[in-house]
Amino acid sequence: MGIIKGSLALTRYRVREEPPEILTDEYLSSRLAGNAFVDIEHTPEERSLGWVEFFNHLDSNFNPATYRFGGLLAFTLRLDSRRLPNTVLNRYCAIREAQHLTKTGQYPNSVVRKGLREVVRSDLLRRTLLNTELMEVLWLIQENEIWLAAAGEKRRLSFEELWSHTFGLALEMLVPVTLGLEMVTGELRQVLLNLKASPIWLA
Amino acid sequence: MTGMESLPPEPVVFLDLWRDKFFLGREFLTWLWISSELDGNLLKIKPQGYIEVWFESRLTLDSGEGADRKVISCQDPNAKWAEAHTGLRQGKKVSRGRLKIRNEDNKEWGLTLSADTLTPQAIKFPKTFSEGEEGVETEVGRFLERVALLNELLALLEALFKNFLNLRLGEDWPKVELPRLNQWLMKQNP
Repeated sequence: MGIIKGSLALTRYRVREEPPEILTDEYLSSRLAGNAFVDIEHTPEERSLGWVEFFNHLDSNFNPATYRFGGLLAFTLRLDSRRLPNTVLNRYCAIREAQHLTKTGQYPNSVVRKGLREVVRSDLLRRTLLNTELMEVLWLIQENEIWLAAAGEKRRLSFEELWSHTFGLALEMLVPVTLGLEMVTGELRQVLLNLKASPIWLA
Repeated sequence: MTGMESLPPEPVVFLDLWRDKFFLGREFLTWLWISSELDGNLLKIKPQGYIEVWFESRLTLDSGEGADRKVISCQDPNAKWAEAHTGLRQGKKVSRGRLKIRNEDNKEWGLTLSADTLTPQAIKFPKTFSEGEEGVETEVGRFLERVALLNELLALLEALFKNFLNLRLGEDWPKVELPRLNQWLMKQNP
């Protein structure tokens, strides 16, 4: 679902800073590869956020042919995350503590309990299925505009975090007032900045 | 579309400004809905000419911010909108709506528009020739085609918003436009 096919939600940003250098293939490939998605399938990590190729979400080599389409740059954000419910963790910790008691004949003290908890947590996380989210991103170079094929605050924040790590360029989301400020000039800008809500129903 | 050179030069605290002007998107959607009803779904905008806009099946109205905030969601497959008219009379404004837009070339988009961000969601694209074809080259072609269609849709939305903004910031808003919207609302069933 997204820009390539299916139905789509779109959040727009304006890039508010000039890139530190011209957007050459070398610059883009190195920035994207340096922030590429890292697989956490067989690790106890809870979250991995990074870029994958636009048309191949399993690859992150970032050959320019995979992201440059004329005046467009296209790549996909991949966020893998897993969540371990506390109730599950507590249940397995209780089992492990009981095993410790049987084995040693002693109740585990707080230091031992903490160590057991870490081992159990790491073990369970490795066995917890990952949730994968993919969000396509387009950079319209001429317009200084970014399209994020997603909506909602949580998704926006994930994108802004990765964008900031990768390019470090300030972004401003296009919302009614920022769009309006781009559309009007002179005195009307001040009128817009001072504008107050107007009732529609006057009766 | 505009580039970096036309961005507001003075530093603005984005989040404060956004929250302070939440009403702008809601007034826009309210104006768009009533204008589409008033003008037989046909709106004239520059430079695209006549476009058709109609709201279908779902509208959400919101009374604003704060503890007294009230939200009503109206589902009306026949688009009679009696509940929404009542909401407007209670001072609510449209905060979200499902609408369709058709341009002069007969291309038709469906989308849900959220007033606070003007984020188009659940966008349905016009039917295109390359649909259903397979292959990598076609995949890139389809992608570029959808980008072009998306650009067209955004240009239409921006033109509609600019039309509204010119009215809203001008002297005619209280003298001409608001009375026009109110006259329409008075004629609707209570």
